[in-house]
Amino acid sequence: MNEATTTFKYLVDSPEFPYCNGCGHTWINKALDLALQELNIPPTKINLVSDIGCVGLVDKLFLTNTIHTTHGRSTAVASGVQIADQVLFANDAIHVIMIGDGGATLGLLHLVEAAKLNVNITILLHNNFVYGMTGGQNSGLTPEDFRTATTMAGNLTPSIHIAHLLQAAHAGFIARKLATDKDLVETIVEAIQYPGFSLVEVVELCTGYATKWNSLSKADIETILEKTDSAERGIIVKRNDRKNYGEIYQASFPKKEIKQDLKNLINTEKQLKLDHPISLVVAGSAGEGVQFASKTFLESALLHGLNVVQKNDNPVTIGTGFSISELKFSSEEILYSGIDLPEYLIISSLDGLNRAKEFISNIIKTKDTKSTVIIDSSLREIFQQTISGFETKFIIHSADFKKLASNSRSLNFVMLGYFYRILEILDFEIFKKAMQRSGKNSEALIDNANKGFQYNQ
Amino acid sequence: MSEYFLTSGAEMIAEAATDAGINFFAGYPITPASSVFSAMINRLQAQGKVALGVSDEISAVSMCIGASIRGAKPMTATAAPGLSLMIENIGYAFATETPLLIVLGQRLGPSTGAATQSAEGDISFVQSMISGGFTIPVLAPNSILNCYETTFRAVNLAEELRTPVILLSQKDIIMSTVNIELAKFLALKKSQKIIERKYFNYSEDKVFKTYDFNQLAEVPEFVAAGVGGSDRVVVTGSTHDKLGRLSKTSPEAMEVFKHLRAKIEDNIESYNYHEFNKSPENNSAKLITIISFLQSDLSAREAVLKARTKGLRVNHLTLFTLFPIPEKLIRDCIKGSDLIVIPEINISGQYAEAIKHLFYDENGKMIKLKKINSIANLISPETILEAIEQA
Repeated sequence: MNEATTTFKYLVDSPEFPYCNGCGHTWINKALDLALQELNIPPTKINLVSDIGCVGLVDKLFLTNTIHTTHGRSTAVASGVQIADQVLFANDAIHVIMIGDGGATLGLLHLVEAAKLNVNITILLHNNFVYGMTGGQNSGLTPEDFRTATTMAGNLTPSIHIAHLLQAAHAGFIARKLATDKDLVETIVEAIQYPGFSLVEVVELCTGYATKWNSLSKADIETILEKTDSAERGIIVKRNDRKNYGEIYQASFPKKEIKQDLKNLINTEKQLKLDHPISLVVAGSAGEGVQFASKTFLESALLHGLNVVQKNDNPVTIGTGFSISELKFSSEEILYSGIDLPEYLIISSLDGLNRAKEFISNIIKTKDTKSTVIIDSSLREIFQQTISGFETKFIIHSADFKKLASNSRSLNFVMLGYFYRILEILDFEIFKKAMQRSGKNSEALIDNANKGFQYNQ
Repeated sequence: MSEYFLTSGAEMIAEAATDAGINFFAGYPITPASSVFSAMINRLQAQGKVALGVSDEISAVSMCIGASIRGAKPMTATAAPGLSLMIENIGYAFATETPLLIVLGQRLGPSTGAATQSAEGDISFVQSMISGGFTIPVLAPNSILNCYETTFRAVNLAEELRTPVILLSQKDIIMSTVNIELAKFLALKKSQKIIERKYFNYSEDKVFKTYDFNQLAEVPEFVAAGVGGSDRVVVTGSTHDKLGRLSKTSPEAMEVFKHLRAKIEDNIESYNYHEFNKSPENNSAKLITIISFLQSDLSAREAVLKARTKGLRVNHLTLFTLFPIPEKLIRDCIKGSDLIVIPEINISGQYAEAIKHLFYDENGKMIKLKKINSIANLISPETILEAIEQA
């Protein structure tokens, strides 16, 4: 098809506009039709995305693609269509959103977001000050003193000034027109041609409700607009200093064929055989590198040829309170990842001790169990109180690990170094390799772990 | 010596999703799904595909739906509070037959609950999210490694059936770390096949209708909106005929309504992903069938091994497809059972409640059910073994 010489048709033959007599929606539909005729783009390259309400009836009338969405979400759905169209498919379809003042209220955040991102879409905001389809209730765009089904004595608050609000979100093109303005078509054309986010607010009449309860001559409307601090008309904003989201995205993240590479492959150095799976819980404070140290330890166990699993827990924030890692390592496949009765417990802080009480009480309650506990000497006394009467169930290793550590983030490396020492079956040289793999500061980590490993009581 | 890597469920989900062709991700942070979000940002942005953080979960799911209508393969990830916000538009995706993958990382509810506490309490929630009485497919990985295969299947399923699909996971699977053998993993990767949605091929004697089908369970062929050409796409979440025209209760609209259910429910045999491990023993001891899924499945596997060394007769059915309920499969697997054991980490035994209407033998006699539940803590193999031994 030769697009230059073809004239496209956008409205169905003899359209029956499904709106009330005098409703502004008809005017806007006709203006959109004329605007599209002027642009003469193939109708199947146009997505007309409609919201809920009388505006949503538009898909019966137009021969473009139509996407009728949920209430308020038309802008977000259209944003997804547009970004995919531009970035993934290098296409330049046109996206026009038909939304009412109700949908704009409900989906205000989507408008703000689309403006902020500068998504290349065009919003036609049909503002008749009320929810027309459901009986004329007040919306966020209902002017002060305006009478609606739900504000019969007059609306108590002023309306949201959508143009100002979206300017704050860096909208590139904002226009405000009356449905009866002769140059509405030109404004819509300009909005569609604008290569980023554009919004045309069209002030119009809901003849089903608004005109019954309010005096709405042209002069009245002018007064209402002025009173609500929104007398500006025509194209209010048109800036050309921003690229649209698709352009920015493509420039920042160019298309690349990347073969997914699995990072940090580990070649096992040994094929250690354990006679039973070993469980270790490292319990300390958030911000002290418990989970990082544990993961480094986990890598060293894997380097020994063992299967490993690490499960972490912390409160909602990661900067305060306890932090624990539950570690299991085994020559056999590990199925159940839980640890009910840890064979080893490393307790590096009071937060950790409090969190570990659940394990300690399990050990105390369960017959024929014994655990080895590595604990900083500052916590020894409290720990002794915790296990009072059940001392025989615990083998306690206590030392001034905190003093040995160069800082709080190294403490758990010191204690894991000590764990290596008492466990005896693991090769400390391999732990060093795991620390080297962990990247920066590995020398300091090794130094700290070594202090624990070399510690003499 | 062998080559391994350490990985988490989040990484495996993201790896599978990108391998399966996901090219659009919109997300909003929430524990534990944030790690899936980050993993997708890393992968997709590096390839020039779309991944972005947006203002809320409603935006995330809506943008994914828009992208899918344009022909992208979209995904988002959240936890129950975010899912609550998404539900209206998951219903929309269902009604508009729009492929979409939603990864749900379960944590302890209700409401904000305990954000960092793993749980399996959203099973009933995801079964009945769609107004009008529909269920969307819900797949559930049982391990970190299995996240790969199950996610891959979930992406394919969304495309094949043109529907939103839930990948039901949980914090301890998403955020824990295990070692995986490289050779084994590469073989698994290689064995996967991408399934794309069926596109409409224009020909003289075929007229495109957005929601066309012959048999009720057939999936309509797809045209991307905005691509140009001769086919007009009409998308609507309102009750519609095959052309997508608003039609309330016309006979054709009611046919479309039935089709929406049939394409999910009637095709279940093609995606009732499971493993059935039959008891090697055929003695006269009582036959116990364990039905398990998600994280408790690994405990059940350990319990089954131990029980069999004690000579107990135990069948084990692992389900990777939870919904729609694979009724025929479950009926077949429980045949001859004296007791069914279902472990799950929620207070009431949600899945057990959903399927217990199937637990009758050929003579109409009810088969005994033992639910093993814990609110938030893992269920140990010993707990399951105890239940088996007491039978």
